[in-house]
Amino acid sequence: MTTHKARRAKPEEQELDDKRLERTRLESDLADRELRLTNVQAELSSFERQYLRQVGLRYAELDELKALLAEKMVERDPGQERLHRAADEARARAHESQAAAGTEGLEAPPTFAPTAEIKSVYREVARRVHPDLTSDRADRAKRQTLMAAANAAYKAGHVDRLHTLLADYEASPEAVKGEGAGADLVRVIRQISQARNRISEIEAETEQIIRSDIFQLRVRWEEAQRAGRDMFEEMARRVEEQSRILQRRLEEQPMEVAS
Amino acid sequence: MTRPRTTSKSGKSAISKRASRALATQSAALVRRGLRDLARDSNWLIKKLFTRRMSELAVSPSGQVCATSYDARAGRARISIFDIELNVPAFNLDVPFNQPPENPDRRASFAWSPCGRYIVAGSPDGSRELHLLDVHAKSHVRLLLSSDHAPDSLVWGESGNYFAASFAAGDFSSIPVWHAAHGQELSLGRTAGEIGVADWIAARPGNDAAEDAGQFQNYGRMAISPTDDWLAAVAEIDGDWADDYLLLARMPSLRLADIHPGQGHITDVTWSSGSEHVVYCASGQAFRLSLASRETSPLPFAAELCRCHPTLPIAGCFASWLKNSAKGRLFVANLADGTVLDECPAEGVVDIRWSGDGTKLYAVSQDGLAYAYEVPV
Repeated sequence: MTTHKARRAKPEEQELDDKRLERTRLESDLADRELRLTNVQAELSSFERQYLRQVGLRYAELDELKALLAEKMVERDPGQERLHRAADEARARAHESQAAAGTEGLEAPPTFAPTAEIKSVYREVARRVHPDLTSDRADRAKRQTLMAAANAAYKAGHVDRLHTLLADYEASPEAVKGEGAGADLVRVIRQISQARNRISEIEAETEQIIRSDIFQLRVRWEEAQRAGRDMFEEMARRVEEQSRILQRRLEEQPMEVAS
Repeated sequence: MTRPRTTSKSGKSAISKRASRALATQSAALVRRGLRDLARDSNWLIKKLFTRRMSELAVSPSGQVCATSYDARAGRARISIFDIELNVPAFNLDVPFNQPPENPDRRASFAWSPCGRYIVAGSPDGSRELHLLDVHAKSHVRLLLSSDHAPDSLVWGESGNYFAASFAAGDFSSIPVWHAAHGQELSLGRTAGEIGVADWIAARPGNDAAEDAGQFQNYGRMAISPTDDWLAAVAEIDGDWADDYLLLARMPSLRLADIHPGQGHITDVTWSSGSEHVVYCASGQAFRLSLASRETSPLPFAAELCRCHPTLPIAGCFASWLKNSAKGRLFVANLADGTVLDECPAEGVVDIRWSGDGTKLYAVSQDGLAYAYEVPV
C-alpha cells in the first residue's frame, strides 16, 4: 500500500505563487486602466471633432470675415502701414483657424460609444497581450504591435478584429509558459515591476489629459448637458452673431477706418 | 491677393474643404479660444482636477486642493496637491504615518493654514498622528502630535493665531486648542484650552434620558471666530430623530458658554465676518445664530455647506438639491436679505473656501470638479 504524503512547497515555489497572485491582480488593474485611458482618449478625439464641426468652423468663418474687413480697410487707405500689418495678421490667423477647423469638422463625427462586448474583449486583450506583462524581448515587441492593433480596432469599434488578435496570440508559441521555478520567479518579478511602471505611466498620461484644454472644455460641456443646455449650440450662436456684425460692417459704404 | 479655399461673393464668405491635419496640435488654439470665450460668459470657472472619487478634500485660501491618493507603485497612501488656479501638474507629498493605511478611500482630515503654505494632515483610520506639511517646499515638516485617539476634524483659524483639533473617542472625545502664529510653522506644545464631553453633556438642555435624545457620537465641524474669541463646534448625536448640538466656547480657554440644539444633523458651521453670527447648516437648511441675542433664525435658502465671506455680508453655499428638482447648486447668497446673487449647477461638493482677500470663492467636489467664483467688482 502506498501512502501519499502532501509535499510541502519549497520557499521559492511559495514565493512564486504569491508573486503570480500579485501579477494576476496587477494584470487586471492594468487592463482596467488601459481600457479607461483608451476610452478617454477616443472620447476626447470624438468630442474634439464635434467641437470643431459645431464651433471651430464658426470661428474660422469669423476670422475669415475679420481678414476680409482688414484687407478692405487696406484697399481704402493703402498708405497706412499699420493697416497692412493688421491685415497680414488677420489673414494669417484666418488661415490658422481654417487649417485647425479642417475637413473633419464638415462631417458629423461618429460618436465614440463602445459596447459592453467590445469593452470586455479589449480588456481581455489588454490583460493577455499587454507588452508590460512579459519579460521576453521578442515577445514584448510582438505584444507592442498587437496592442497597437488592438487599440486601433477598439477605437474603430471592430470587435471581430479584436477577437482575431486575441485568438492569434493565444495560438502563438510566445503564449506558452515554462522552465523552472527560479527562472519563473525572476520573470514574474520583472513582469510585476513592468506592470507597476506602466500603471505609473498611465497615471501620468491621465494627469496630462486632465490638464488639457480639450478635457476642461468637455467638463464644461458635460456640466451644461446636465443642466439641459447645448453648450456648443450656444457658443456657435454667439460666434455667428459676431460674424453677422462683421458682415454688416463689410457691406457698409463707405468703410470707416478704425482708429 | 489670392485667397485659396475661400469664396467671396458680395462680401459673403464660406470655408471650403481642405486636407485634414493632426487634430491635437491644429485645433489647440480653437479649443483655447472656446474656453476663453466661455470664461467671459460666467463668473464661475469649472475645472476637472482628478478622475478618481475622493471624499476627504480640503481647499486652501489660494485655490489648492489636498486629498489622499494611493501610490500604486510604492503601494502606500500619499497626499496629492492639485491647483485650481494654475495649470500646473499635481504633486504628491509622502507622509510617514506610523501605520500606513492601505485603503486609499480611508477617511483623512486636513487643515490648511490661512497663509496657504502649510497643511496639517491626520488619518484617523490608520494612524493617531498629526503631521505638518509645507506645500511651498513640497516637504514633510514634522510629526506634530501622536495621540491616544484618532484625530477627526481639524481647523486652523482664519487669523492664523489658533489651531484646534477634535479627537474621536466616544465619551472621552475632546477638542484641544493650541496657539499658532500666522505664516509660521505650527508646533503643538501645551494646549491653550480643551473641551471634553462630560462638560457639556451635563449642561445639555432637556431630558438626557428622553426617547429620541440619542447618544453622543463625536465632534463634527468646528469654526474659530474671525475675532479669535469664540469657537463653535458641532456635537454629533447618534439617533434617528436626534438633533446635533452647536457648542459655543470662549477662546482660548474653551470654557463652554452656550449649547444650542440644531434642527437635525449639522453639516457645516461658519462665522460671519465680524463674529456677530454663527451660520450653520442642519438637515439641508441654513440657519443663523445671533451671538448677542443667542436666538436662531432660518435663512431663506437650503444649504449643506456654507462659508461666510471674510469682509462682506455674503456667503458661498452648496445645496445638493433644490425644491422641485434633484439638481444641486453652488451659490453666493446675501446674508442681509437672503437673496441669491449668483449660482452654478454642482454636485457632490465637499469643501468651500474664500480666498484670503475675498475676491474668489473656491469649491471642490468628490468627483474632482473644482469651481472658482470671481466676485464681480
